[in-house]
Amino acid sequence: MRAREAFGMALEALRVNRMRSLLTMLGVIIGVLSVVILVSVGTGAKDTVEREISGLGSNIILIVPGRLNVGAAPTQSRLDLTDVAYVRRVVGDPGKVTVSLQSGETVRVGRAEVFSTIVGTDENLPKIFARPLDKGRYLSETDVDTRRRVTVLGSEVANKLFGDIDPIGRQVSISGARFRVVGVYAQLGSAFGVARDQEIHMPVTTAQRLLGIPRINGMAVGASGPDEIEPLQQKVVDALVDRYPGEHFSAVTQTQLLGTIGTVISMLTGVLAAIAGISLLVGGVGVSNIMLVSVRERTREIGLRKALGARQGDILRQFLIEAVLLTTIGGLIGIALGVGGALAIATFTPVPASITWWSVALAFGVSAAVGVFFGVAPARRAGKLDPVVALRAE
Amino acid sequence: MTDPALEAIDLTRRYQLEGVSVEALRGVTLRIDQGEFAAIIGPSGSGKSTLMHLLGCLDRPSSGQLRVNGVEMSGLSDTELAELRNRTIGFVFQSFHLLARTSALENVALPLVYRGMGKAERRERARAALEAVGLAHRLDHRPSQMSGGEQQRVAIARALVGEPTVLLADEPTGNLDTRNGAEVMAMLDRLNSDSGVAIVLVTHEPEIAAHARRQIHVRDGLIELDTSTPSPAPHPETNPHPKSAHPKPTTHPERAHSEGGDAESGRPEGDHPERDRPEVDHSERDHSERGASFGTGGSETGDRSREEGR
Repeated sequence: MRAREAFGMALEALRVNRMRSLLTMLGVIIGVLSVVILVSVGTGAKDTVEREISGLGSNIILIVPGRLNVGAAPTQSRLDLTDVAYVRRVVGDPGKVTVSLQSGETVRVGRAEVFSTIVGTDENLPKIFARPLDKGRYLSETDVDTRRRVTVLGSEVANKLFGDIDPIGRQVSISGARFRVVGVYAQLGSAFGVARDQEIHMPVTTAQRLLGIPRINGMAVGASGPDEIEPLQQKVVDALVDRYPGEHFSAVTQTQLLGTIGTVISMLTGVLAAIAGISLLVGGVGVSNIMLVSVRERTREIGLRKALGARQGDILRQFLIEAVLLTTIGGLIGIALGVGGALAIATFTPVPASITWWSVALAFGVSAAVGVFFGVAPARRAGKLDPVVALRAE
Repeated sequence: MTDPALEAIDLTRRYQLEGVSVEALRGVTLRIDQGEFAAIIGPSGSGKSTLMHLLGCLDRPSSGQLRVNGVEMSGLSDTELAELRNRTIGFVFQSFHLLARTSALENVALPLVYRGMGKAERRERARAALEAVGLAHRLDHRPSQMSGGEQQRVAIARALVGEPTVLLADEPTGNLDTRNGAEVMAMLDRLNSDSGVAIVLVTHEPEIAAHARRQIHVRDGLIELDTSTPSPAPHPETNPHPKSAHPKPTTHPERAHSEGGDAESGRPEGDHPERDRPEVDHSERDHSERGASFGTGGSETGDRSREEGR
């Protein structure tokens, strides 16, 4: 028998039992639909985080004291500005190293007040991080050297404190000290939990005096290319360990962050997709069940076909194609609904969703495989029916 | 055309039913020549349907040989048997066995599908076959839109579309009224003489069997009597009780009578192996008597095969 004939026969059989076919497909449809949607949402979340991390700037190495351990409190830093100078010598290019000292403080202008993150840093920050300005200027070397009380505001802070008024040249008050606004950053959005638009930047020297802390929290080193990240990171950490024997220093790169966060999200997506996959499996059991019923119902037909010269393989193929058609048609409907659903989620909710071709291909492939896997047993049973017994069946 | 269409040598068929071995055929030797028209006649449970299934290669014998067009079937795989059925044997069943949601044309074309024939040629041949049985006006009708007689004619067209050597008809008139039954029988007569296809008719009705030029009486899994009518079969309308159709009452009046009644009340497609069981008990009881009275040699083979079965 030609493949096209077998195909036609199977389609015809599904068409005849339209309602039953549709209900059988429903399990597969729901399974594929949920796989496609969940993978899209997971991929969307991962894309967003990746975009945020790479939005920080390129080839950045963060140097922090102690061991990086998720969930543990950060190590009390013993680094100070002399160490920064030391690292600058190690790196060779002073412009490639910047510094950070952070603390949460309330900022006031008249009656308006905002709780924001004070970041003590230096003039090299914009050379390493992507922090475009909206107005004014960055911190300068002189600002840092002379401990000037000047700040550059995050866009949200500027908006809340000054509204429509241009904040450049105006004063803000932090812990009773007055600061002059010299610049406002452009809006950035948050990068995985860090609200960068709520930061206030000031010279690190000024911040140390304001907070009464002689130390810094960490440093950021900019590598000149992706290939340089790894050796540079090692070099800086080794140099710091040389300087402070017995202490630990950690370097974190964007790639590592991307890797860690990406792995977590992928794992979550995988778990969700696997749960959705279980419903696909249950759908497959439904297909198997219906195919067994169908074989029993059509026993006489099978007997007749065998009498007329159908080989065991012809009958097997006919029923197997029927099962695979059930699951692949269900799979296609599920994909259509899943893609539609993911697009709707991305459009109408804040949840990011991005459809990936591989999840669609995988869902289709799995539904076809489910058809083969769960169709084989009923199809074999049909193929092996004894024509004499089958012809007598009622 | 030198090989006989069907040649059975000492065929036996045993079934295992709940651990009990039941012998439906006990050594049948039979030869059907090309173009012959023979009737296998016997009461319900006589083994005639089992014999037909074997002749049609739907089943395999427990022992003995069967040659179809000179080809020994025991050496063939299931797939080869399917191909043999497809090319050399046409089946007509009592209950028509048409696919319900399929047009007459497609029903008739079905055997050609399994021959791998292209659609256009299939339809052309199916149309010709339907025209040959007088149903050119019913090509696109479904079985439910046709009368029983028409359905059986579609089934006959389906059996002939592949140009088989033998047509096996199992109680072809069993589900039809007298008029439609006569029509179907007349058609088989004509096909046999026109196209030269050998026809083996299985029936329990002597009137139907009388259409054939040869009557093979089967009882208790053995051929009891094999008679040939010298002249072509008379029309049932003009001669409903042909002389040659009554050899049984003369040989075994009481049993033929009682079992004939049985077959009518128990009704037609009753050749289940399960039903064979009481018959076999019966046969074992009378076994020596019959072996003596007919001298067919069947009793010896029967004994031998029974022993093999244990």
